[in-house]
This record gives sequence, C-alpha cells and structure tokens, in this order.
Amino acid sequence: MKHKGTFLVIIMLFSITRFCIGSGKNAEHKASIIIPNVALLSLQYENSSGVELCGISPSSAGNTIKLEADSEVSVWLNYSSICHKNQKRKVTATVEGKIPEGVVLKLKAEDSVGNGNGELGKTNGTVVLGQRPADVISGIGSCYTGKGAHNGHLLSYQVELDETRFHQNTKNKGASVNVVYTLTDDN
Amino acid sequence: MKYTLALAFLFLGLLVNAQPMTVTVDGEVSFDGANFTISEAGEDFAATLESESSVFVSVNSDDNWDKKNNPNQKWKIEVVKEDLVWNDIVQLEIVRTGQGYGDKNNQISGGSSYQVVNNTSTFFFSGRGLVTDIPVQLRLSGLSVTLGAQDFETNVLLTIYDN
Repeated sequence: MKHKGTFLVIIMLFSITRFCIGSGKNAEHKASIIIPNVALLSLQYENSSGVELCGISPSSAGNTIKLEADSEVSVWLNYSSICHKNQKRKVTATVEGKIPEGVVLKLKAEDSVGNGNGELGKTNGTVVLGQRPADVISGIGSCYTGKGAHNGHLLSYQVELDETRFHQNTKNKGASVNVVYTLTDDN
Repeated sequence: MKYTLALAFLFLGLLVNAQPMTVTVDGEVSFDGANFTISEAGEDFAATLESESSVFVSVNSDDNWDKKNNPNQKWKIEVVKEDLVWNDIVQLEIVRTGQGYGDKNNQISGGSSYQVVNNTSTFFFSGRGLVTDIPVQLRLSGLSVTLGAQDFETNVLLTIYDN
C-alpha cells in the first residue's frame, strides 16, 4: 500500500513535468520589402493631343501679322516617381523639328492639382522651348500626381513673334514640331 | 530510497521533455520590383500587396513518447514580428490559407482571415497533433510611392504553445 502511494506520487510528478515544461518553441522567417526606383510620365488630353497655333492675317495692308497669344489645350502632365530620400527629379521639354525663324514657342506648366500626394514638383513658370531641354517642373521627389485629365500639371503653350527676324526670313511657312517631355534625375 | 527513486523519475521526466512540440517554417517572403507595379503614370501602389508564394508551417515533435502516446496533443501558434528596418505606416498581415497534412483528427482552427502582425505576440491558429505544410500567406497594406525607394525587413516569429 505504501509502495503504491509512492508510485502514484512519482507518476503524478512525471505527468506534471510533461505538461508544464516544454512549451514555447518558435520558428522565424524573414519578410523583406524592396521598393524600387520608378519614374513614369504620361500626357493626358481631354480632346486632341495636337496644338495648333495660327497666325491671323492682317485686315488692312501694312498691318502686322498677329499670332494667337496663347493656347490652353487641356494637356495634363501625370507622373509617378519613387526615388531615394535626397534624390530629386525634374521634367524637361525638348522640341523635335524646326520652329520657324522669329517664332518663339513658350510653355507654361501650372502647379499640380487633383488627387496627387507626396513631394510633387514645382513649376518653373513659363519657359522657352527649343532643341535643348528646358526644365519645366523641378523638385520632384517620391510622389504621384493622380491619373488622367484634371490631375497633375496643366500645360499651355504660347507663341511670340520676333517681327524683325520673322519678316527677314521670307521662306517662313507652316511648321509642325513635336514637344518631348522627359522625367529625369535632377543632378 | 523512495525519495531518491521519485527524484530520479522526475529528472527522467525533465529529460524526456527537453524536446517538446516544434514549429518549423519553410519558404521565404519577399516583396520586390515584381510586386510593386504601377500600371500608369500618376498612380500609387495598389492598396494591398499579397505575397506571390506561400510559406509553409509544420508542427512536429522530436519526442517519440509524445508521438506514440499523445498524438492528439493540443497546441496553439502565436505570431509576432521583430523589426529590423520598418515603417509603422506599413502593415504586415498574415493568413492561413489551408489545413496542411496530418491525421484526419488533426483539425486546425483560426487564422483563416487576415490579421495584423504586431510587435506583441498574438494568437494565430490552433490545432492538435502533428501537421505539416500548413500554407500561410502574407499581405502588405499602407504602402505608397511617397515612402520613396527603400528596403524594409522584419522577422516573423511563430511560437507554438501547449493549448
């Protein structure tokens, strides 16, 4: 009887040990997230992608040729940019093709509006377009403008006439040029 | 004599219990360029990003006594994350997407809807007996392009307890 009691105590102790000790083993795995560099740019149009800037013939002999002062054609510049903390980007515009002598093509970008967020770029106001890249928007960090018309920067074109140079060149006629926009690192 | 015997058995019990139920994790989760796609200029990332591959969790025991005599031992798994580099805006969520393989009695419950993995240990799912290859998937939310190009890293820790 005495031995039976001892045996029971041993069994109990053994059982308690089994169920009280030995929980809490763990395993781990690494979860890594790598956000890459991204630079995406697009132009969004409400109507046509073409901009037509026409000269107005003088109504009286001896008057000057007039050009439309400006043309707001509802071209919207959208971009998504992911870059490193202290890195900045800019949008440049370059003319492909030959602008007639004496004609100055200007571009104005408005500040970003719409659903964008982050470190959006600032407009450089009105810039003269040529065959060398002109900085249109600067200081772009990690951000997005929102997609489609009425998001991002509204663009408008202006044409100015340098009358002296324009009239000196008698071969001037209609010209078609492309304006190329690039989202690039701002070094 | 009987006390010595009792102590000997107790010590034996401790030794036997040196290897309790164990949990192992196979697979790796990485969210990289392939996940972070922006379909059109002007857009942000999708609201949530799900890991493409699953991680597999197995519950096992190195204790042969347990395997033979206690095949339906109840257990529970808790989950916690230990950040190496992290931004609290980003939320890591975890879900169990399957039952794994085991004895037909080894039912698993809980963890079948996404739950946030915090820096404090929380219940994930529970079950009984030995089960292998329980698929688990991770999801990220709160990510935005405005965070910039950077890397985050965290350790997801699964701990098994007797239940």
